Amino acid sequence: MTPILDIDDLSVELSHPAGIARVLDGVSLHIGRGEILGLVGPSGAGKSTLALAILKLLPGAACCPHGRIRLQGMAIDTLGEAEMRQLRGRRAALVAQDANAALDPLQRIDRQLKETITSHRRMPGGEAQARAAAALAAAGVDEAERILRSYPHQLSGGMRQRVALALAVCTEPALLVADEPVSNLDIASRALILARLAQLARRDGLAILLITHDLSVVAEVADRIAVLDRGRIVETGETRSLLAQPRHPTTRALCDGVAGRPQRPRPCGGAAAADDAAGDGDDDPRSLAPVRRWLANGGTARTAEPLVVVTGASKTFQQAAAWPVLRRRPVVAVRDVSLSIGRGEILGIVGESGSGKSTLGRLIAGLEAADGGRIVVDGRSISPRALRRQRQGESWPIQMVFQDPAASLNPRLTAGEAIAEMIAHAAADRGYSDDLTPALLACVGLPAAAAGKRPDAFSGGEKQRIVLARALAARPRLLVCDEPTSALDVVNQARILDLLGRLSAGLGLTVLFISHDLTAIRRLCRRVGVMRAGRLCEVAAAAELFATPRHPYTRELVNALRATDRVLATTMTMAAADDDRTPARRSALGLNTVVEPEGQRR
Amino acid sequence: MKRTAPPGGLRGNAGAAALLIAVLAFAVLFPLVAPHDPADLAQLDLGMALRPPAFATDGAMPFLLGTDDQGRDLAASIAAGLRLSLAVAAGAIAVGLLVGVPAGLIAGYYGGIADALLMRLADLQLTYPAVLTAIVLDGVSRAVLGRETHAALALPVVLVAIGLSFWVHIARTVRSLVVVERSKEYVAAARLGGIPEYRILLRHILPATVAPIAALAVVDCAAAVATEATLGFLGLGLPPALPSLGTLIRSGAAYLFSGAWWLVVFPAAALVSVVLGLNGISDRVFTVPALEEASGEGRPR
Repeated sequence: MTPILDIDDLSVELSHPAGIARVLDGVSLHIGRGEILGLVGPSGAGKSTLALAILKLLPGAACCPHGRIRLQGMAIDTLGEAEMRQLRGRRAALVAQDANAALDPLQRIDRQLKETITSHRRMPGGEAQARAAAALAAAGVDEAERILRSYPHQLSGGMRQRVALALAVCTEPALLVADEPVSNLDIASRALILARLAQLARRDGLAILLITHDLSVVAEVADRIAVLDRGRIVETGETRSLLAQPRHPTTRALCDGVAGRPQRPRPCGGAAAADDAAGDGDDDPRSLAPVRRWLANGGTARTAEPLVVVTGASKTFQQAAAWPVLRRRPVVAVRDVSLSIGRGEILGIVGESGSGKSTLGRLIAGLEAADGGRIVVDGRSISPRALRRQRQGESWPIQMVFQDPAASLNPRLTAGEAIAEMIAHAAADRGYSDDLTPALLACVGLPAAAAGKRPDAFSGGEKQRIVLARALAARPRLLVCDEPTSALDVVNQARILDLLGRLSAGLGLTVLFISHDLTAIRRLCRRVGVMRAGRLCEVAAAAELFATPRHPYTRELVNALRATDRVLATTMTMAAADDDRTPARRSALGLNTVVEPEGQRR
Repeated sequence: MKRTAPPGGLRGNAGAAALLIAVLAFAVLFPLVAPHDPADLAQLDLGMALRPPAFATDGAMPFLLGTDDQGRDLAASIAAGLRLSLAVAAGAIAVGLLVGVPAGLIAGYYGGIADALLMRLADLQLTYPAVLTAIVLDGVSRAVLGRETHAALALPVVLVAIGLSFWVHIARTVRSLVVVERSKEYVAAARLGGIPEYRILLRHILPATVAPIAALAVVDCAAAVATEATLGFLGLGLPPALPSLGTLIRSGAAYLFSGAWWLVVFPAAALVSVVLGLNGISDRVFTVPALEEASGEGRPR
């Protein structure tokens, strides 16, 4: 039987003013009917280029010097644009990471689906409507009727991605190219989408190329895995055997990114984290000592009282009215949230997009003024008056790390200039030495030479390290991290999380860590708050929260997390029962605290 | 990836740049070989009036492009007119930048009332065209200052009149760039770091606007040359003692039907060349390395 997709020795080159870059180099792979091939690789490996090449959507600057792509036996490299348009949708469809970009914000969902369906086959409107509903159902949408009548902005992120999936499969293609389909989603939506992908493959015989940087995604559903690194397929094999015995260093790095820290496996949450954290501080005293001196602020000895106390904080935004005469609609982002963060503690806040967790972070940081309630950080009230004084240049005890490392750094300043600027302002009342900038860079794991370079010379992970160094340069008491790892690939995510843990422990820094990613929270935080619709549903010690979630929403999240763990655990344990590395990795995953019962039962 | 060249761009840009350089070289270098200084009345010879160009029948050197009704060498007049027109355009753009950039910065960064006031003022400015601004300013200054003083102040009046019609879209462009830049996290980080707002504005945000504003200034410069020519043609610009391109075209137009075609064609060709050349290079101003450097546009994305 001919495979649905057959790529033979494909190379792709991109020409740009500086020369020609080979993005893909001799890539060969094939996917049969009903099969899911996971294509994983770090960012910049050429994964998305491959996706575009299959649909012949590469930009004009790209060319394929050799190689061939066949879809159901038909070579696509000789086809013209008109023929390709017919072929896209009918034979191959694409689901991309950003569902917002896939959906037209001005059209209702039913029109978008029906337009796609009827552009491939003429049919009466009623039949198209029925097919649209069926496609939504196949993509895991329960209330198809309501969703059909909605506009994209009325849907949640997870629902939008399901609609985008329906849009891709409504023309019944033979091949689905899914490029990071779940990377932006919270864990519950992610589980749902992956389950649907698996079902589409098993039941309808759809061939799926599942592209991701996150091995845990492919571990859940892929039959086979191909690892792409710098344009070459470096390793390929059955999911289980490949995860059990990764041979290539890239694969191992990706595995470790999922599974935990390679050097220092640490059980999740529990008491062991404290010892670990304490030990971590002495990791490299030479690099941390100057920074610790810089941060130490004479008056604030360690006391038992919490650093941050939030009582009943609320924030309502006035949504701009569409017409001047219409009333503005208030949107409540944060309602009556109370919490406290102890000195040196890392508090995690988890929640889906729109749950108000970012707004809470900005309120505590002092970037927005709360409408109600009281926020006190280090004995200082974050009131509108304090905010005004801060705008005028008063030193401020809070710094933030943001989601998008590219936007977090001024592209026109070198890393050293950005850090020195912060130091200069924080040092108004005390001297500092010239080697503080190198010391700050060293404590985030960057060489002193990095100071002379601009942000465009750094990768996403390195940029985030510079952001951290810059934040530390301002001598914060509290660091608010808003989705600091969401824009990074898994390997960098793991490194940044570990770095945060190490800095917090080594410097006694208090961290508010905001993320939609429960695995990141589990890895870093000892206490976790769960937010939904502006409310703080539950705050509990991490171990307790993951073991016995009380709030229904928390339970939903934790169950989804367990399902992911279970797949990883069983894949890794069953395939590699005799692999001596497995126990370490399993403990690194934190599986022994949460999932082991299920794992043993199998 | 670097910014890709506009379709068919480079060749067109090279042509425009060549044209512009040729015109500028002519404006600067021609006086060295001109038969006389067109501004010096003592050197004029009425007997040489209305000579056709050297290459036409009856034409003769040294009057390459012929002479006008006063016996002035047309080529020398055009060179002088070009210099004056470009100087006026550059000055007008400087006025536009001086008003527009601060207005855009303040409106974009502070928003609220300042934004509303400045932008409504901009809307108001847009309701009457550049020429009307110039006519009003010119008329007012004539009435207020009297004929003598007005002649002396004609140049600043024209500069301000043209400059005022350009501050609006400079301000709007700066404002939109600032609004985007202000919402980026590095500005929030700088605020949290206690860096005063004026420093954030000048050190972090202003540089982001440099490259787009430079490109805009070049396009505006072309428009300013055209506006100045329009004013000159209407007799509202500089006094006849300071002949700019527009004034030359205006005085040449009177002879169009008496056969002295060169008096209109050559100044008009010079005007068209400058405007085309400036417009042609404007979209490449972005790629000038110093500007890329300044605005951080060289970053991959």
